Amino acid sequence: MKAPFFGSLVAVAVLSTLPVLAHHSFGGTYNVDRQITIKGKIAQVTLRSPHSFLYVEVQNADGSVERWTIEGAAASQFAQQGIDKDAFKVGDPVEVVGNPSRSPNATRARLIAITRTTDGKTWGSRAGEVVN
Amino acid sequence: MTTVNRCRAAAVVMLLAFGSPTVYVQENSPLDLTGTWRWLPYEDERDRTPGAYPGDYRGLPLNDAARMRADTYDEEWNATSPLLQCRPRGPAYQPKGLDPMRIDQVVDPVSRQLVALRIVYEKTPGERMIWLDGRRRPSPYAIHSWDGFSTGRFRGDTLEITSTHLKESYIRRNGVPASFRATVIEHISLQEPFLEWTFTVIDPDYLTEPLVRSATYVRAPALQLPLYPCQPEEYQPGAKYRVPHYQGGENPYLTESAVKYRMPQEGTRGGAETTYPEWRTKGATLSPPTAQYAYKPDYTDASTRIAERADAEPVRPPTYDRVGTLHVSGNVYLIAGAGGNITVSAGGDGILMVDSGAAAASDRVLAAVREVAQTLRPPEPPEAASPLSSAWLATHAPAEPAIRFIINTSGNPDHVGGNANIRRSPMFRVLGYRDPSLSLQVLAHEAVQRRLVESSGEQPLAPTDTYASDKYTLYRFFNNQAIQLFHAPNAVTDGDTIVWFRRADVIAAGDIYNSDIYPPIDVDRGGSIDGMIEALDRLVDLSVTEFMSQGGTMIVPGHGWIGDAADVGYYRDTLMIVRDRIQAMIDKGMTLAQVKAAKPTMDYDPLYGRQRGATARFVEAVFRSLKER
Repeated sequence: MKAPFFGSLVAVAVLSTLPVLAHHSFGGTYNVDRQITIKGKIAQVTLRSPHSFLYVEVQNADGSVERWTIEGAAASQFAQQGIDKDAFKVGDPVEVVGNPSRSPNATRARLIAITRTTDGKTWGSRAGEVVN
Repeated sequence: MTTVNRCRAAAVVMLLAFGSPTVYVQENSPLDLTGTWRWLPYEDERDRTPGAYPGDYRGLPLNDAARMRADTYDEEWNATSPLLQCRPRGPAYQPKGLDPMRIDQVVDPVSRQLVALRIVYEKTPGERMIWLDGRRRPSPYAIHSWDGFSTGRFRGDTLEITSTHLKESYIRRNGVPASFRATVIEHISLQEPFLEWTFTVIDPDYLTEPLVRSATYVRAPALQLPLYPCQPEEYQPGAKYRVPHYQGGENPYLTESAVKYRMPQEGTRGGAETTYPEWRTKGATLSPPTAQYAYKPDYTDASTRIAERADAEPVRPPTYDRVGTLHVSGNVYLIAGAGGNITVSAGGDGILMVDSGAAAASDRVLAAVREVAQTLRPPEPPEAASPLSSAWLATHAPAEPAIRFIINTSGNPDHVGGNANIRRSPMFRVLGYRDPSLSLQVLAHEAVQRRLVESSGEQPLAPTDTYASDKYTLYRFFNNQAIQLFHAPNAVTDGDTIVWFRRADVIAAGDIYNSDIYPPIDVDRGGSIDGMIEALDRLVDLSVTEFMSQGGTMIVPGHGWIGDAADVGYYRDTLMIVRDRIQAMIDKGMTLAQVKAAKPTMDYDPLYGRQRGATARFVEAVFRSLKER
């Protein structure tokens, strides 16, 4: 009888460490059943509440450039996960894994993981790591 | 210890125990709610973190108007609107949110009585006050806020809170609305270390029965509420503002939750019936969908006929027996109940009125102006021997107020109706020349004057002075503040004016913004839906909220209660959605009669369509102005 109780305590402890986020509904804004990968260069980083944003410029096959909005956690949660003002520089090449917007053709995604391809530094791709 | 000392000690103990004077302690609060609290993480996980799926209305006693609002809702609107990104949760949803909270007692320093409980959530713009001192509810014309106005009382060991004056909000984060007419009743009790929070939403606009939900908090004494500097993000810099939404029947996600939860689609649609145990029997006979499909909702209940019911009401001539005054900000006041709202600047320079109300209400308006003037703080008596026989009498016997001039926001009868009566009043004493006819008396856009002069029988109401530019600044400060007028071309009419009191930061919007009625767009007098939306955009642009889309610039509507940029933003977005819907119907070749029959405003009629004829006039005006583009 003790094991389930201990297990529930562990579950509570684990859940308590989940990021405190979602001011608006991520499930309503993004298709959380799908993942996409975006490759481009960091154009702007805004760390703020309720959510932070990475703007990534993506070059299309025809040479045109699209600006993608990658939405993630609040600034304080990002800081705990190692993303601060010094994490990226404008122009850093990155690969972003995210949930796409529910709106067709929208250049928006919810951040799941991001890799800076010049040095392989990653956020969110290690087992159990969450950056959103 | 000697025997004597033992006896003395025993005597002292006996005295303390039995003989001390009785101390009467009045119990301020039968339960101690003070401290910091956090939500339990295993409770309502989907509500608290990812948010409900689109179309999931389980457990909600919705009417069809609410369903239509939610069916056409796109969460991207909430995610991208600068006015919504930092929108806090109101009492209709807050306990389902993530916020830790702190509760303090507010005690009167003189009487030492408990006056209020102060609740601070992590993500709210300020302190939510639960008044326990029996104070009255604010005027129906007072501003609404995210937390509303809350009073509390103890029923045994339970605190009961009643909140009104709420802004429009939501009861689930997938577009299910909560009306600004909603009342929220909360019951809070303690089972240490847990705090049980039951909250009941009574919404005459969108619910058929009260919605009762609960949440549990646990004491967290070491928790400090973190700073929450919420800053809206401009997603697409420079892009024209738009409201993401779905046209009726085109939301592709309405069956998503039924598939994911493996339950009948009928159950996900909510409604009072689905909240009772008997529904299980019926639900067991229905099959859940195995894959998502294009769900075409059908709306038929009583909420779909609100406009018809309003139209069937008998015509009642307006009465003006409840004219009242309300402070807005700085030296600006509201006179309400006299037809259109009247905004008043009162001070040493005299009285400036924005609009004059209905003609039949003028006597009451003048009495209200006198009341406003008498609420002004009298000047301090000189700190020396007074040259007056009685400083108190001198400072508390103000002269009859002098109305210096009137500004009209439009030519609508309930805004200009009192022009002639006010001008004839002895209280109307203009600034300027010895010959009053040379001085500024009634100012409006030139289109208002032209239309009133051209219409027979209304010339006495016509403005005496006009401007014709996009922006007009009054030639001097009045009551120590600049006053600027902005012309809103082709909004309600072609002569609408927005008046900005810059120091008090109050905007008189006229009929461009009404808190609970559709705008009375008059296409024949130059009004249009596009012009309305542009004018509302300008109102939002002129306004600054204090924090988290609340407060700051006060906006006096043509009718209804004082608002702020968030209220005006909601109103503008509603008009944008309705415009898009009617445009789509026009694009399909539908006639006006067909558009009216399709009820493109049905889900907003509970909010704005409760006045006789308002909905039909609005739909027709939108249709005509789009056809005549």
